[in-house]
Amino acid sequence: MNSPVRSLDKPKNHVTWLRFGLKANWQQFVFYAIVMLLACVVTSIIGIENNLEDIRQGFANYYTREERGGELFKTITLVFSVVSCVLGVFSGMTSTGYVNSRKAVHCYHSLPLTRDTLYLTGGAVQGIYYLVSALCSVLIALVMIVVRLGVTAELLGEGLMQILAGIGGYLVVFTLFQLAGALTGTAIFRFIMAGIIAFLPVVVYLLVYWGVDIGMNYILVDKYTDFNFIRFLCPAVNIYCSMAAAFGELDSFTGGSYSRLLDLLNIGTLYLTAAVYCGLGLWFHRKRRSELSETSVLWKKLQTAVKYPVIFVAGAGGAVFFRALFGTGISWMLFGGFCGLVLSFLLMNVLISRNTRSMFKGLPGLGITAAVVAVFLAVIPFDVFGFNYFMYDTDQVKSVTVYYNDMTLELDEPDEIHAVMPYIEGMSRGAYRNDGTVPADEQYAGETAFWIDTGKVLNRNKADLDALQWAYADRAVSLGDGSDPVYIWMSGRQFDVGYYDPEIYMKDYAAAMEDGKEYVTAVSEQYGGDYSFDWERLEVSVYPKFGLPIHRFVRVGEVSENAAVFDILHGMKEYKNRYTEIGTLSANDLYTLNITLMGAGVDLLPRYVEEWTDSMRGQYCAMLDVLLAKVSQYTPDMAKTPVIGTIHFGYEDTYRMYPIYAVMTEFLNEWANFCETVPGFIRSVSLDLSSMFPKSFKEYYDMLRYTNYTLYEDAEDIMDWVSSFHRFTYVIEADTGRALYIDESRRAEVLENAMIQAHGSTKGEREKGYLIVSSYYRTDEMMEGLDKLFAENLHVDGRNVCCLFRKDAVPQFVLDAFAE
Amino acid sequence: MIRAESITKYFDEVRSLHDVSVTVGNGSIYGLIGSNGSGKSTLMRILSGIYQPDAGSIFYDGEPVWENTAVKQQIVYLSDDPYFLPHCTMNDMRDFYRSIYPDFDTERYETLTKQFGLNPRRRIVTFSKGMQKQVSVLLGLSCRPKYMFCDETFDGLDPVMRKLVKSLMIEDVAEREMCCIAASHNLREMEDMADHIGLLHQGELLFERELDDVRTNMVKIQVSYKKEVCDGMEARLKELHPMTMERRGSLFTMIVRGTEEGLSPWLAETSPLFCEYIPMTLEEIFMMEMEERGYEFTGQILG
Repeated sequence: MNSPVRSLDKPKNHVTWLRFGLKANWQQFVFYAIVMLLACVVTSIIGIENNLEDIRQGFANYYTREERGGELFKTITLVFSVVSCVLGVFSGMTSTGYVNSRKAVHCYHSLPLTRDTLYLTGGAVQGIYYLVSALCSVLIALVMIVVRLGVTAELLGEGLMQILAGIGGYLVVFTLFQLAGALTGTAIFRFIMAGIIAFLPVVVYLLVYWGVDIGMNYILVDKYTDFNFIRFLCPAVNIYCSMAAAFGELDSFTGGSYSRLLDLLNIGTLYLTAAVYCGLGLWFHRKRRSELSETSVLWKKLQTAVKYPVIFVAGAGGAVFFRALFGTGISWMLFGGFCGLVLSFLLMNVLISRNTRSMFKGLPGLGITAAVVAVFLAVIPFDVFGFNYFMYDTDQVKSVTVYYNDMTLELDEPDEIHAVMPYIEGMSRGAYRNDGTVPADEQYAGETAFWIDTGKVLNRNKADLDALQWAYADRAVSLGDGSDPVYIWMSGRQFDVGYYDPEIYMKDYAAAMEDGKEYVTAVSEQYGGDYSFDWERLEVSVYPKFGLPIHRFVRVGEVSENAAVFDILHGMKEYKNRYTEIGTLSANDLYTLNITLMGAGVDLLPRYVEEWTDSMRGQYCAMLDVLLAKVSQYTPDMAKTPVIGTIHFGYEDTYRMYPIYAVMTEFLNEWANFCETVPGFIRSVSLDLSSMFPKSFKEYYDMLRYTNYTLYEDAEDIMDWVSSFHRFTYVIEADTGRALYIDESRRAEVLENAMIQAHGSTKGEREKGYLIVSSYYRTDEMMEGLDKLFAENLHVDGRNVCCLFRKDAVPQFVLDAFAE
Repeated sequence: MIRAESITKYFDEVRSLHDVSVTVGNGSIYGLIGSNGSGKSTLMRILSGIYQPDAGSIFYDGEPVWENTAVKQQIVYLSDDPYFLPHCTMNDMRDFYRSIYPDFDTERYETLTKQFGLNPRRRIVTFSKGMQKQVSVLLGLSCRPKYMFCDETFDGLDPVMRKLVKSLMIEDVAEREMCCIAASHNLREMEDMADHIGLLHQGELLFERELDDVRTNMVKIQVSYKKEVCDGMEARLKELHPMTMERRGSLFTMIVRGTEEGLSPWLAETSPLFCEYIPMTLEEIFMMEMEERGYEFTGQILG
């Protein structure tokens, strides 16, 4: 054998070959250019014209021309990014496409060009075509937008970041397909291999996660569920996150807060991934044997490495899926596992050997995989080895970390550990049974939620609600449009499974409510009516002196039953300090202040009621400061009383949430006082004018997956749209919750005087002008008002837009209504 | 000079070549012959650096060929099924080769294009299979390579074109000391062209010899005696250790190792009525050589 293998390639060869490649494949450049021009330039032209028309008509003029230009540029760059990723597939398939033809391989590999040259220059040709066409197109688009509308510096920055993300996405997809090509010998298998590289790790992960979740085994769960981990496993998620990071939205997905530098680093991970793929692809391309082109997977070992994990995923996935679909019985699980194993085995054999005669090749391997699947099912969902119950002895524990109420509390004093460990162990053991289910499932079944627009079940307790759901399904009355889930009933210790069954529809709301009430009443009677909300879920990590840490969620039934644990937690310095912090905040510093008591939440938004005078705002803020001061009065007794609500802040770039305990009587008194004072002050009402958003808000809602919004440009359009499905428009009195109805003829009056609030939860959002919609459900009376609407079978979409009226411009009929 | 030492190549579990060693000097035409599946194409691809052997090494004037562009710039490999860039014309392919081979001779390309009577602006895909072969030979020769590998190149060419191509190659060998390795399953194809012959069978090189040596080292003789002495002469002729001997009446036909000059005195002493030295075909020579080595061939093996 020739050894060592060495490349005697010269840079001149690369350049010569690259030049030839660029010249010879000019048609591909034309293709790239056409796609990019359509994506960027044509879209820009359309966007500019629409914006200019909006400006001419005076629609939503609180957006400046430059802001509109910036938003349009951002949109263009987003389109640019998506199109780039699609073009990445094309580039990856064509750049080393010759390897899929034996004839071509013989030709190319006989030429005085190294495999490195062929791989790198082939890629460079595509990359150059893409970059030239992409950058020219986006530059033309930018120039057009700047000239016609202008662009704010910040939005320009975000757009440029998105371009970086788009190019990164292109490179990731491109190099992924190149890598897949280096590993395979046919175009079809290149696709399959790209999919396997991109998704197999994350599918395995999700399968384990899902298996764990369904089995209610919380070992490791949530330690690795953040996007940062998944994006590491899956390039598609990485691209998605990087695109979000470009717009400063990554924190929406990760729950963290990021600076622009971190956003840039996030985008940088795409380039890093592409570099890794490129390096791996080059290495495999060097190693691939020319004679193996036109075979599915080039290496026998790789065939095995691809084939059996896929079969495992299909087998385990089938078992878990059928178990989830048809309950915890083992028969369906076995059926699902069998189907997944056998079908994927046959399919993989056909794909790899490219003939149906080899369909049954490797039966021993199938047997081994089936055994591995069986072990997986036994270990994860059924926990036959008792991993769920394993806990270190207290003496072996070095420290315990408890994540509780948005705080990470570390217990490392022996006294603290000794005090808390028996509870943790007890809570952990008590939560699970041998078959992986939680006793509470059956005991407290009763929660379900629906998307009101489609009636699809969003959330239900997995065990005992089947009969109830089918009862809903039998009643066929459509509920109309809307987006938010409506929890028709909620029991005390509900446990979310977090999946929905698209086949189940809620058809008759009122009947469903009745069923729900009856059901819960029955359960309540059976279990002694114990339906308080005072349970807690703690995320606990136990670090031993030697060995691996154990991460678990433990569910604490009654807080009062486990008071000792909470005494310790609440007595910790960090916990106290966090409450003390509240008192140091000023209402003026906050972008969001939400107080939720007994399930009814209020957004208190002092800063952005634009019509207020300084004096009014000052007075209001002073009242809020008093409230904040009262919340901060921490007492050790708090833990012994139930949590009755939350207070939620948004300031600068972070959010924080603290529980409100029943013992906070001073705060509650102040709150009652506040509620009495404020309604007359704000004079707000809630209207179902859910369509009244300017364009950027539409984007915001799209981002939140409220995808069904249509943009309306004037009040008449909105009215037409509202009338199409709202038979009644209603006004709910803010302070009493009384429901009043607006006469159809007065809608225009409402629309004319309505003032859209543009405020955000954090400083960053505020600057972008996001609208935070909020519900003004504050009192029991209001809930009764809603109940009344439900009872009359009217549409309530669960999300009321807070609509403040301009000062001295509240429609008379609204004033009349409140005066009644 | 090409020196391949102990080349072994497996395709999965199938052994394609086993311990094949070949040496080809400059300015020679090496005819690689063998039946279908004997490993000719594999050896050619290994020699030209397309495939990597599982064992053994290949050197061109002491330099390895694998991933060595300097060596490969001197090599042209003409596949049995030529590949052209999709939808390209001959001129496109000319540009393609010109960008890679520094010695590409555009003038020769144009001359040969006229000589072959091909339209250089026509898309190659529209050419017949034979014409496509012509294009590949034309482009290969225009590269002015030092080493040219022709894998079944003459198949599909009409006799006139075959003769032209052979003469062009011989011309290059003579003028530029080009080294040509031509693979064929047809021994007669090689007879009037090759100066060295190697026979591959089931992945092993059974025989490798200079053609002149082969021809001068073996003779086919027809000799006739008087009827009454024939029986006695048969035993006497066996003293020559003929590789084959056939008797029809008083006429003996035999193939004997040796030269005409060396055998003539001995035969003259036996007073034959008639004695003739018949030229041997390459096929006969190989049949003899191989049978001597214990291989049984049928006619189709050597075509």
